[in-house]
Amino acid sequence: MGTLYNAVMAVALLLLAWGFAQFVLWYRWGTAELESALRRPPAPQHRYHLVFLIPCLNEEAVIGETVNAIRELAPDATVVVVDDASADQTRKLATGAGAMVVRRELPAAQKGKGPALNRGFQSVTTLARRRRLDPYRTIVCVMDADGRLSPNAIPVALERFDDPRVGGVQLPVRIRNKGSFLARMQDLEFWGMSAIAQMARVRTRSVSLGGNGQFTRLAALDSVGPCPWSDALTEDLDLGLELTLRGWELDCASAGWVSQQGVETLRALLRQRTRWYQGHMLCARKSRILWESPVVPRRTALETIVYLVSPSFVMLPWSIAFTLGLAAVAAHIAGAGPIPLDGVEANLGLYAAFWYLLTFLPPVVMALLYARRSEDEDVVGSFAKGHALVFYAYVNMAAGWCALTRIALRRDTWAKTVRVVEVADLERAA
Amino acid sequence: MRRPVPIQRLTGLAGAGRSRLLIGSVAVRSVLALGFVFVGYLLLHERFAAFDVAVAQVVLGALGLETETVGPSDLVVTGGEDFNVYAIVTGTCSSAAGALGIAGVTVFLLPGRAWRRLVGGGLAVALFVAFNVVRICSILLLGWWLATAGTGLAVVSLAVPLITCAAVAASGRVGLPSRIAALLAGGLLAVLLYGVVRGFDYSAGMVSYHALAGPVLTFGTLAVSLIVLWRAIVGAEPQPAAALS
Repeated sequence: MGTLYNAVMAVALLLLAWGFAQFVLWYRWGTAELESALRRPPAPQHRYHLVFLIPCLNEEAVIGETVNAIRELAPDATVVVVDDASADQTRKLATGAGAMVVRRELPAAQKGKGPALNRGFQSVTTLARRRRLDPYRTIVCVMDADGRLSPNAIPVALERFDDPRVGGVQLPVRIRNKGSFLARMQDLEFWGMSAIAQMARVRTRSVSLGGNGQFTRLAALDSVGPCPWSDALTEDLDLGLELTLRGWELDCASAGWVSQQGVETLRALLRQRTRWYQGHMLCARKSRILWESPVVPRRTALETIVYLVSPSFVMLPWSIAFTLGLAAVAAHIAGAGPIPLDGVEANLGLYAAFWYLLTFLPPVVMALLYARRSEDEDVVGSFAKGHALVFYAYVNMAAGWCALTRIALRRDTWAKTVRVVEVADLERAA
Repeated sequence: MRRPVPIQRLTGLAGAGRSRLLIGSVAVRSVLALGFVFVGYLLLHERFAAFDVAVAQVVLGALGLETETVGPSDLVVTGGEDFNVYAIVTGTCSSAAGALGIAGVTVFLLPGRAWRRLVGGGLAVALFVAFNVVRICSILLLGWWLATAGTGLAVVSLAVPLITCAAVAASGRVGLPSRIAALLAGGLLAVLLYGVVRGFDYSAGMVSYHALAGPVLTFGTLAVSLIVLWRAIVGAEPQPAAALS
């Protein structure tokens, strides 16, 4: 039994080391990129024509304010709202705010975000042809209906396209409705950790495209085909891979951000993450062609593959090993057996302090750094949330297993995330 | 302006609804890699322990300590009249987990040309095994030092690096990873110093070092070895211009 336990711990050691190596590289590269980005003042960009593409399904709670906010930041931009057969006032509100609305009708509509974006893309290409826009200087920005850009987001994103090899630029994501603990933890996860990882991936030109704040060169989208977005559950990640496979580089506008609504219940969070992991795991099947592609640099391919294999290679096995480790410690505390450390009798307090540092210090430090980058987070709160982060990881672990189960059962239908009307928007509308 | 690469969309792999296999080859390769580590450990951990002991014996002998093997992975180490230790290198202490982990990742998971993976994997395994032997030797050398140096000298030799670590951890001028490392190293030194001041036997210090520093050093070294492996697979490649700017 002891040898069996040690064999499990041998696997855990490999997973821990894999994650640690990835963390060290991401932290070093990410913080360096952030400092570099913040030192560069964004210059106004007049060389590009900007088209916003917003797929909507029953988004009356947020779409009007979203279009208004975009038009304030970019008065010359074209805003295309794809109404995916909404049953509410989405179309009317979007039109009223000044957007060009493309309506899809059932039964062709409501087949997912990818097909809706492709319909909007058809309108964009028609528009570009009619106005004789240069596809290399036309940038398509995909936004969620609840997305809000930071004041500097557009110039800092557009300047990345000055490098002609860049096909896509992603903005870091923040959560806006941080009133609940769960939403705040999502902000810590997105803004405190994922954003740093995205910035690190600038080094390897393998930034992941997300569904919100995703800027793409029209020529790059054209190179994928008439329907750039697939029907994959994570059509954004899939598009990034397709662009990479065609030799385009992916970048991150580290100095700006886009905000969105976080989900506010555990059930909704689990459902959202399960969909993401399911899409992520399915996209991982492109690893081999990514590596074999002659146009993808090796470091880009390897980093992307390491990222793609993470859920199945690291997170799912780690959830087993981590739980077994916790169970062993709990069994010791309950008096059921020896603690899996040598020599604890000597000075238990110091041992406990040391292992506490090892377990909780990295997430606490990340949370403290997050507090420095967030205007509404204090040190005490972030200290507590750093501790909670260790256990919050269980949401993602559970979602990973749910995703695996759904893949095994071949279930791939999903309801969209529900939005809420925000108090700030109501006040602004009033 | 650049020209797009004219390739067809990879439609056969794009859709979630068209999934035929469980989660495709990545999941299968992940299971194979981890299964290789698990089964390999069960079958080979004693052999790895014996190998580590054999190498450690050579190193300790070169450092002037007397060594004698009393079993495949058991070692008696003597250094003067005050230091005599019966050391057992267990499977968890051996380089089995790390070496098998690197081998599993190299063979089953990572892409790339076979010769690159072999060279990278070989380098990473060699690095990990070498460091593991150093770690084993360092436990015994620490015990020898605590046994023979005398309390005053032992306290000074632990207190000076402890103060240095505390200063680094508190400094705002060094990077965060260095500060965290200094804090952890300082914590370990504090545990050792506590033992010396309280008059514990040198074996207590060895046990503390083994229990606290061992796992951290092991996974840290494995992480470094994995980075070596990744770099070896990528090979020398110029950085993109945008990353250099």
